[in-house]
Amino acid sequence: MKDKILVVDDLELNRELLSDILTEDYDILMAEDGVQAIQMLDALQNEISIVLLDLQMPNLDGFGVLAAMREHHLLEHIPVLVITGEQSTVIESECFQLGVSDFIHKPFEPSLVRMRVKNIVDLFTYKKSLEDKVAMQTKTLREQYHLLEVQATKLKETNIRIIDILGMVVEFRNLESGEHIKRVKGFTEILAKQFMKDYPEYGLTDHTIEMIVSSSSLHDVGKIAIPDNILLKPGRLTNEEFECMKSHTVKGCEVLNSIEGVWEDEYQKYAYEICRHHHERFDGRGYPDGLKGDDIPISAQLVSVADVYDALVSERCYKKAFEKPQAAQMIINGECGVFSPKILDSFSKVTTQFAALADENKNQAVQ
Amino acid sequence: MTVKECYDLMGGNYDEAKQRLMDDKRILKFLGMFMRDTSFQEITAALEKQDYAEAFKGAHSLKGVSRNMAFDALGDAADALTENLRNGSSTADTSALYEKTKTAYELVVQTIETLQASQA
Repeated sequence: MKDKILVVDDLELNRELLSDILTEDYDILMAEDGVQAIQMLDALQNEISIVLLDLQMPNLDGFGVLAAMREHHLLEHIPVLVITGEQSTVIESECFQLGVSDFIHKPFEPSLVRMRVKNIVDLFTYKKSLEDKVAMQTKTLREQYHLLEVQATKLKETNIRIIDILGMVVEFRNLESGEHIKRVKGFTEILAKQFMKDYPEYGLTDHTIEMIVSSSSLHDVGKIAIPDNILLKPGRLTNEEFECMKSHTVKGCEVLNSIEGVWEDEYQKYAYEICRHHHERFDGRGYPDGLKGDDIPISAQLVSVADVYDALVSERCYKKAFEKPQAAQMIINGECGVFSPKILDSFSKVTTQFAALADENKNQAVQ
Repeated sequence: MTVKECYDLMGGNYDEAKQRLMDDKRILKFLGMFMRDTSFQEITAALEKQDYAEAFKGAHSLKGVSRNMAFDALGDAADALTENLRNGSSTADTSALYEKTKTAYELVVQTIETLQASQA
């Protein structure tokens, strides 16, 4: 199919001359004045490749047509060549400013007219193909981005699901009650948020806190590998039994390592830190690695405070529950482990919140 | 009468017309179209009403058409009239330039009529 040209001139002779010159290569449409031209442009704007436009016409002149084309954003994809008998550079410059591509001078030189028209049509065809290409690539990129977003959401769900499943395994064995896991998560969140505010230099963010809180439910996952006779022993453990008990930190890490690659590395990292190091002590006398000070990952430091607090305020087969203010004070005084002074500082500010959460969960448990 | 003789008689440039329109048959077709063009009549009517802006438009059109058809004498006369009227007003020379254009236009018309008669 040939490209369509719209020739707009009030004089038949001029229209026919141009038509004669171009009819071999193009389909010619003709308009006798600006009003007709705009009607045809409206109806056929996606088919017309170029407009040859006379300036001086009755009803609506060439400038009127240009203004209408500009208003309807047609000049961006339909080039206009102005037919002129003027030598005046003023009019030409005015036309260029209005968005005209080039000029056809009278008298018409057939070969020049053909070349000018062809050049401009080719240029706009090329421009359009580039624009189409860019639009296509943009669309593809947008689709890929959407796909990535969907995958990221799915992955996050997978991570959380894996953590929940592992947490449930611990619960099923009745090693820790589901309530304990839930409370440790809650305490960790309260403490981590306060700590992020007080000590921004540790680089915690809402996102990392979310991962730490989620992973905190795995702190005792290694206990599934401890024999019942030790784990559930009501009386005091022998030294040997206690050593075995301590290995739940390292055994938990083995469990986590075995699912490597299934979940996101970041979640894996936090879960691992918490699992392995939640029994370290700030003075370096904890286990399994005897890490000291801030060599202990901050995630594990936060969870261990939460874990100890919950143990103190809960009733166990070998002890009664402490009152909440007393429990908090014992932690702050260093009677139940040694913690970072900074974490204790943040902890001291949120003891009321800790107590409220402990009460809330207790009430639910009773119900 | 031949097309070339017609162009010679009216003060036109046959070679240029032929180069542009390729052959006599095409030239004849466009000469016929020129006979239907009303630009000159528009000049006359506008000048009678002293509407010089309108007269300018007519002169401008006639100039363009004449140049396209390589009617050199008429094109030159219409060009002079166009420039005279460009500001939308008349001068002392306007009527003389109009008369000159009229003479050239009538010569072109008569010559084309003669040519058409001889071709028929």
